[in-house]
Amino acid sequence: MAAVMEVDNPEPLKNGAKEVNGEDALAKAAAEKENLETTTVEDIKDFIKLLERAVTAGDARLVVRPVRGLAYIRKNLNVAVVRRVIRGVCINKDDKIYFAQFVGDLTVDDSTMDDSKKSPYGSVFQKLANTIHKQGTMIPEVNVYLHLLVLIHLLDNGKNAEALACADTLMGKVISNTRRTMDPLAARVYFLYARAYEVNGRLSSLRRFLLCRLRTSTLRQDEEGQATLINALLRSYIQDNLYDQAEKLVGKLSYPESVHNNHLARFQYYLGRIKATKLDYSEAHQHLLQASRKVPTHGAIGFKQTVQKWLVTVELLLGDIPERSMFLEKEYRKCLVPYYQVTLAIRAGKLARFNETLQTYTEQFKKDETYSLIVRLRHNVIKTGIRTINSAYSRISVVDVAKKLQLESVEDVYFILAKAISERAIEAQLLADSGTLVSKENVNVYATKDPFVAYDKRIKFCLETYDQSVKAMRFPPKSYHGDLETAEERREREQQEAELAKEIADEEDDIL
Amino acid sequence: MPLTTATGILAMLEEKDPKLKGYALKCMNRLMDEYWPEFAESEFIRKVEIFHESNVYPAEERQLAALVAAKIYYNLNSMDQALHCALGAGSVLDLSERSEFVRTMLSYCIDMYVKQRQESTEKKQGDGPVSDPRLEKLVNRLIQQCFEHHQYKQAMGLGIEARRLDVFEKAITESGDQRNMLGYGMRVAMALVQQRQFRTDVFSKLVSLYVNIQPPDYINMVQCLIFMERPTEVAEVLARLLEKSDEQRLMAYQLAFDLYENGTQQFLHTVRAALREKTTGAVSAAKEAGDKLDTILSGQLAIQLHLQFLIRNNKADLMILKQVKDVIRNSVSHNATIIANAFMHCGTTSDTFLRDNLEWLGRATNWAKFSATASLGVIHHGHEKDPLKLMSTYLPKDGTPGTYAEGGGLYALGLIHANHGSQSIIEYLQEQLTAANNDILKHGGCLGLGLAAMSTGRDDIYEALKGMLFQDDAITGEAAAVAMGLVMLGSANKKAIDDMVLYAHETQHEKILRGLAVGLALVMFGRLEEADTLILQLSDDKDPIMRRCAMYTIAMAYCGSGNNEAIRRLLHVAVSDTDNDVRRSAVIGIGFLLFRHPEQCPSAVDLLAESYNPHVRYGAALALGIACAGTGSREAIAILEPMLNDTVNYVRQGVYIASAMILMQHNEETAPKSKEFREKYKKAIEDKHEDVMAKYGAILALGIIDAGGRNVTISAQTRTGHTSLPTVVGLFVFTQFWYWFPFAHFLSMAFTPTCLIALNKDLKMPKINFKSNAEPKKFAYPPPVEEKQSKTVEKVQTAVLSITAKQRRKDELKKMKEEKSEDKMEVEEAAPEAVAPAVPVVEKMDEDVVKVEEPPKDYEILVNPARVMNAQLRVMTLTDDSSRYRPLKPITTGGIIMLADSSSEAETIVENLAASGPKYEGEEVEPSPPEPFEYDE
Repeated sequence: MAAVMEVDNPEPLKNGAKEVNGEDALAKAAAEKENLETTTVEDIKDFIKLLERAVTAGDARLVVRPVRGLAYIRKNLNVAVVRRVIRGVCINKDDKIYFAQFVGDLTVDDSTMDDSKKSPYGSVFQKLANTIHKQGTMIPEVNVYLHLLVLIHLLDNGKNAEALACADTLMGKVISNTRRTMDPLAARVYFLYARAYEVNGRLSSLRRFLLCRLRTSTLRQDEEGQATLINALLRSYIQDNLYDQAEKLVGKLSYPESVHNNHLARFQYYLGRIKATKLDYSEAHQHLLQASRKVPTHGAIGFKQTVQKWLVTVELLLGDIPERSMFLEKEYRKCLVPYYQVTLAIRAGKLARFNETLQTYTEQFKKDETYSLIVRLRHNVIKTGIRTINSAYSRISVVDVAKKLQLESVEDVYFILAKAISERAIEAQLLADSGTLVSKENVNVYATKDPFVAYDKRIKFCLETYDQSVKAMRFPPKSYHGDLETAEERREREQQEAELAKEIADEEDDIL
Repeated sequence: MPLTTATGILAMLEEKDPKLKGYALKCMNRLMDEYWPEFAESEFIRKVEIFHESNVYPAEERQLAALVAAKIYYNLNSMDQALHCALGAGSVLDLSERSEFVRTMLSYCIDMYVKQRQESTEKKQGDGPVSDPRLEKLVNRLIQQCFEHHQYKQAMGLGIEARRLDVFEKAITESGDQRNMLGYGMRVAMALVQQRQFRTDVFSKLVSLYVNIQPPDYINMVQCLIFMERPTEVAEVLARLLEKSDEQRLMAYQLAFDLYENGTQQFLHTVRAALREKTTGAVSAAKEAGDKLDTILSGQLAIQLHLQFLIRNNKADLMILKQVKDVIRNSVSHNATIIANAFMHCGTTSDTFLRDNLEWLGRATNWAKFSATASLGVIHHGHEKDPLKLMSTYLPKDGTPGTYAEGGGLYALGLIHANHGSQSIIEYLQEQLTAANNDILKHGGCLGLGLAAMSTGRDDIYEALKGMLFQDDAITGEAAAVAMGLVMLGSANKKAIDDMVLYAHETQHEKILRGLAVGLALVMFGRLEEADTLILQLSDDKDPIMRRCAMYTIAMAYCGSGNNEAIRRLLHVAVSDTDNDVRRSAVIGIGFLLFRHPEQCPSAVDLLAESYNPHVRYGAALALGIACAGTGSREAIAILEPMLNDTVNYVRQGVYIASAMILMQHNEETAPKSKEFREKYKKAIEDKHEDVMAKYGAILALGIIDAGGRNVTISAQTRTGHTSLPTVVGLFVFTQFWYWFPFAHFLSMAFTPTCLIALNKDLKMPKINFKSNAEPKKFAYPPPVEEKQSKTVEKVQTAVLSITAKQRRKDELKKMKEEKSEDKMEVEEAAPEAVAPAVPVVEKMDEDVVKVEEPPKDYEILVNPARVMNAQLRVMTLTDDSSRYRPLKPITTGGIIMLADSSSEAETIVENLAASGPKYEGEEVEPSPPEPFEYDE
């Protein structure tokens, strides 16, 4: 009781404090928000500067950072931030008018702003705005970047129709430009463009266009763009249940290796789904496993959960039982409940329980798009049951097997067993005259090549991981120049060393 | 319901009715973009291809099938097959279509065509794959388009790339501006065409075009003929010109000067012989002109003029040498100082410094004495009148055993006549060589003979040197092998190569092997791909010296070509060979390959300059020095600057030398770092703790940066873009000072006077002025060195520093007892101070002389012969008062230029400076050779 009291007590206190300082807190929150906005605007400004540098230096690598930064800017992006940036950066009137149709009137907003606060940014912006304009028009890269911000903002706020219009003009800008510095931005644009069409339910109409862009970016060796486009295409195929076409496309392409892990994770996930649908479970398992490994450690929980659902399903289809601990992990505990139940049923090899679970969670499975695969699991339940029986009994009558599997027809059981033996699911013999199943002696796995193969596979995996991480490392250019010693320093060091040596020698002499 | 799969269309391909199949193809063509993944199954591709190849179907549909197949392959990213199919599509493929597919196909098509043409021309005719006629047709269509759009330069580029001389010619003739296009074509051919055979073809085409334009452009025409090595045709042109008017004769003289500057000795010999034949029967006026022409072609005149120029404008700063002389302590630095002096006064015939310091000079012993005597040859480089008298004190006398000085004397004779040995001097050297009675004399004699008979290809000399080589004496053999290479320079003489390679495998002496390595490379000078067999053979040798020879051979054979394959090979060896020397020479080789494009060298060796391997770093430094010599390249200096603090002594040495080569003739205006570098050299020399190897480099650097009285530069290509043979050879053998320091003198061959000399029709210099339209200080001489005031203070500080902390502590402990010894020490360390006071007196006098304050002007008047730096040439014009003269070629090219005189007034021509000043003819004004000095051995 006392413990409860102690826990309870602070609550009202806290509430009280809040009530008392309510206005302050509100002001504080507003100030914090203001602060956050300012830092976001600052970040965007830095990125735009970087873009400008990239364009003047003609180095596409510099563009990558602003593009990756979008993910994090997105969290703090709101209409005020977008307006402030556009107002600061745009000199050209046409640009302003164009953007205004998406983010509201920019000029009116200006007058309501507190001048004293805004003026310092104004001048800084002015300088930046001048550097990014060449002969009155904005550098295309910066223009696209602003446009991207607007599009992200629209998509995040569910303004789908506007987003579509915005995406269309944006794509027009990207296509008309052929500079290499545009490529990383273009990749991002492809993604959002496809997304805008998807939320408007028009993704299928986009395939032809995406395929054309894919060709172009392949010719230009724009890997990021290729990866994004392939993913968008696969997504569109899968959405329309065109697994055949999807598989054909994948078969004809080589997926760029050196792209960001997020792209790879998506690709592997789509690949896993395609393979699973096409009955190639072991391949599918590998791809899904890769996908689950490539996802970022933090965040992307939705994606992780979806991958995990598919992974569990495919594992079950392969006849494996997933680790129990996985179901208990915090991230997955809730969403994997149906799959957990299915797993339990299969593990026990109980058909009745499986059917029951299937019925309970049909809706859920359909929503997860795994239903068609889960249905296929019935067969696995039976197979697992047979396998357990086979390992438990060295000799058992078929009638008993039927009983244990809760199957009614003994004849069916004969067929099932025969099939299991011919598929090498179990190592056994079916004696027809006595009506019994006789299991063979278990072979010693260590005498076979299996451990060798497994070990080889792991070593290969490790080596590849190592190679990839080495490749991923990149020294900043010329950074090793800094700490070279000068001639004087070297001489001083050498002299000191010589003195030290002499001292040591002298001391030794002293001892002697 | 929109279409989601193309299975239906594909099914139509199975149908028997050709109409249906045709329809299917049409659909496929239309839907390609969206459904290609489905079309791209192997069975369908096969069907489409069968359709294309079978004769049953109408031609247009078959072509359509080819187009469909091409598009499928294109989508699959297999461009070769796509192109193959696209060619079958014929007219169905619309070239004017602006689609990505068509553009990609066209670019691949051109690439393929160029590749095929290059391969087929490289192999013997009919040996390689003949290019596809369809491909050729397509390319012709493209070229036609180029002409229609007046893109002549593009067409010419394509013509050169694809080895199509007809296109090349058409591009020039059809363009409105033939003269300009010809110039462009020549530049492109010189800089970009790396294959020897094709380059000759292009040049012969250019020559025929040059003849046809009015008036014929003889100057460029002769340039082409030099490249093609057609001496007889050159002689014909010259003979034709001689028969015509005076003005044409002037042109002939001008051509002769150009020929001497750019041609090899052998080439000139042939021209002269052919010319003599032609002029023997000529009338007196033509005969006289023919004789003049002969003197020009022999090079005598050019050498005399250059000597004149160097003597007149000598601005060597003796103060620098004096300061160096005062601080150096050991024999290595002593030797370096003598070499530096030689460089500084190279070709100026001024040996004041040596004469003033005879006693000091006497410290040189043994091979150092050899080198010191040879340095006289460098100073008198080009001073060809009575060389035997000039060197008489140092030449061997009959019967007495040869000394180091006498060996050096013979070497000096060679240096004086480098690349220009007269018959008499060659004979004299040959005699001396046969009479020589010890290896020192033989060494000097071989080198001297090799230099004088350089690139003559004379068999008798070669055999004599071979006899020396076969004596299997290390010292003689080394020099003989190098000399053999010099004599057979650039001849690719098979016998010589076989002899040398064979002997290289026989001999036990490393010195001889080294000499042979250099010699072999020299034989292959400029032979490009002809050297490949030798290079391959040598680079697989297990002896590192032979592999090094392979690297040298690449450097020499491909020098200035910038050949990618050769650079790739050098870079590969530079990072993979097990032997440090091989790696170093591979990196140095890059410098030789890239001297035509000095701006590319810094990026090529940037990473190598930061290698962990000091030999590679050294090589990178020298490569920069060679490729960017005289350019003052900012990038190159930026790489070298941090290397000044390298931890390894010989790397610093290389950096000093390389930076001096780059900064030659530059002042603070043209290369802001030059002052800093000069100070660095000085500091390194004065610094007690600096390693002697680095000091050696720094002293040489001082000599190089102010070489030839500050009036010469190093430029491995001549003003017209030919490879300057003596410069490359000089630089190359100079790099061998790593193994044998007297080779350092070879650098004297690399120095080219930066002069502008105008001549009238009597081949005399009229007194005229040139105007340099730039601020005088921009191209001024660097200011003379100033006295350092703080010198003495520094000395004391270093003295204190040299006392170890331990000693100091001990001293403090026993200060009372040890008073005497401490006094002694102080006296000892104060000693260097005594040297300092002597300096300021001389310095003051110097200052008074130099102090000339001029108001800032934006132009400068220079008198004939003028010192004009390469960068300055652009802003040169004739002054208004010399308007009666018209140069035969633009004076912005520099060098020796003939003037046509429009006025007939005889008086003005008399403005010839022949008699005044320290002229060559005025023997009595000439500084006499130094007094013989005694050596204490």
